[in-house]
Amino acid sequence: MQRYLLRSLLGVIPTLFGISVLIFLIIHLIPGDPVSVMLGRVSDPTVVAAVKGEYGLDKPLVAQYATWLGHVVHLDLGYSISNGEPVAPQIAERIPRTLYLLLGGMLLALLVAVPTGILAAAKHNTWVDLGATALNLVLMSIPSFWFAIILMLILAVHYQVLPATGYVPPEAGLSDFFRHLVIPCVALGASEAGMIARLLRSTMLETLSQNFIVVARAKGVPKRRVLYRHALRNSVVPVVTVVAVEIGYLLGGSIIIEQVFGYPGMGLLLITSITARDYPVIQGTILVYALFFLAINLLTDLLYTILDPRIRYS
Amino acid sequence: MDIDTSSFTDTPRYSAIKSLLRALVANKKALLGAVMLLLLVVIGVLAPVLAPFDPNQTGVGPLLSKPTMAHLMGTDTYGRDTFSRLLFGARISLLVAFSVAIGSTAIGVFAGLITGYVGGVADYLLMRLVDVLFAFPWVLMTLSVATILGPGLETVIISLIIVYSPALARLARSSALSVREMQYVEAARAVGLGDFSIIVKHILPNCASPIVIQCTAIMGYSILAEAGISYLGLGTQPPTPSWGLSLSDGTDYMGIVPQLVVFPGLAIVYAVLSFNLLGDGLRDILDPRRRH
Repeated sequence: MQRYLLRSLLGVIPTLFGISVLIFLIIHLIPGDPVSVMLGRVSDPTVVAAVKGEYGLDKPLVAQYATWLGHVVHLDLGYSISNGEPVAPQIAERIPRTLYLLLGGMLLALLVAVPTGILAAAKHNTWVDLGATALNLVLMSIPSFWFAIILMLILAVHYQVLPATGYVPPEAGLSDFFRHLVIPCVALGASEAGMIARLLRSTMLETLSQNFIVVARAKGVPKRRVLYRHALRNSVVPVVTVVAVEIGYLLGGSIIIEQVFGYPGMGLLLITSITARDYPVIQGTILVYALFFLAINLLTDLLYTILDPRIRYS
Repeated sequence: MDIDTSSFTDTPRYSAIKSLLRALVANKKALLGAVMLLLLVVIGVLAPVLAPFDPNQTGVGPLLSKPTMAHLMGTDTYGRDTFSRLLFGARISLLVAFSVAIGSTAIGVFAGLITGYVGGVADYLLMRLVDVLFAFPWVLMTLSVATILGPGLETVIISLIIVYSPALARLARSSALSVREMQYVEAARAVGLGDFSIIVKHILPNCASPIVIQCTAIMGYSILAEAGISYLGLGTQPPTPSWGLSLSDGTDYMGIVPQLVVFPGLAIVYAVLSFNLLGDGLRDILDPRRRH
């Protein structure tokens, strides 16, 4: 298992390098001088010279990359052009808020998808299966931000049972905290639920046609036990892969959802910094998002070994 | 001299097309998806004829009015007819869908086939590039490109091509890897067939089916993505009648005129659902594992 993990970790290094190069190049790909891009309208020669010196912007590109990487490794992501504050603490403050949204969305998606997928597979070729398939296709076609707007319209504007916008930290009251998360998480998780349910149904149908299932049924194992203990357990590995990939999509979707709800997470920070052309914040936020996505993929690799012992020993 | 043309319609390619069409009509999902998509295309093409008003003309009706006989879906905050904007919005969505599908197929499949066939350093470098691009969720990539190029429809199309090319490259590469060692490829080389001809005549047909299926999915995702980015104000710019932009404009007034957010959203769902249905149906028809 250690070798498998080491291989996974080593495999990530070239990807990490590539991501860091791409993100570093964002500022340099923007038309214009990187210093003026970073500083905006500031033209004081002393400030310009200081920034050039600190970030090595007068050196060759490779040297600039090394300087930038050195700063990043020490968690120095530069200073915001908009407010002059360090970028790293601004992002760090918002990471938990975005995580609440992501975890809530995925949890709700799984709560809907797993029973739906199992039911559709168990009742294959019946009206239940047809209905579940149709529902999943429709859910997959709904834009999460539009679903969010509709839920906001019905639950917050019309019936006023839930708040429309904003965020309340958990320490200020768990009830308010959860109430502010309900609509965003439901909107975020809905299309994921459709995707995951569809996949689970498909993998379970494949597993249910395997010989060992036929043997289990022939031995008189109860149908429920066959479904949960044998079929579901063997169908879960490909679903875990997709869940990991879908977290990446959720990451992207959460950016738009945060904008819809004025939810003060990393996504809203990214959008406002793009609008304000605050490039150090843009770079820092995108870097954190990409690293987070890589970490999810690594964790998924680790989860495989737990779910499927054959991978551990291969 | 009379030429017997009956054999022309019995060529393998013509028979394959006929049997594909027959299978398409027999598969309910594919048929429904194709009909829905066809309707969408017709609406997009005939928008100038079907739309009662110029979609960008302001003041054609009262501001923020509810649906009436004159304005079937009401008007927006500038007095523009919502129904007309919805019809023209189909053009934007279809333009994005087809541009991204064609662009990502051209780049991804070409790169994947060549590097998968050649192997070595080129293949290694492509796969590392694909890994890096896969590490960027589509929104991040689109926002990064918008940061560099500025907002706009072209930015959305370019960024989505970058987002979806890696998946097609991987697909084409795996096909190239499996086919290049086959004996018939070796035989083709032995008789003097060039590498390019081998790739086009032997390897590309093997991955055509999964590519077609993937393309329909990409088209659906592209419409969702363009709507999302335009909603953020970084995609299609006003006054172009994009569905995402219409949603963004209507959000502030949804308490008064909810149809401003309901109809554009339903249009997006319709368009994406048609591609999803068609893709599902094509998967049933073309995937050999499902066929058997």
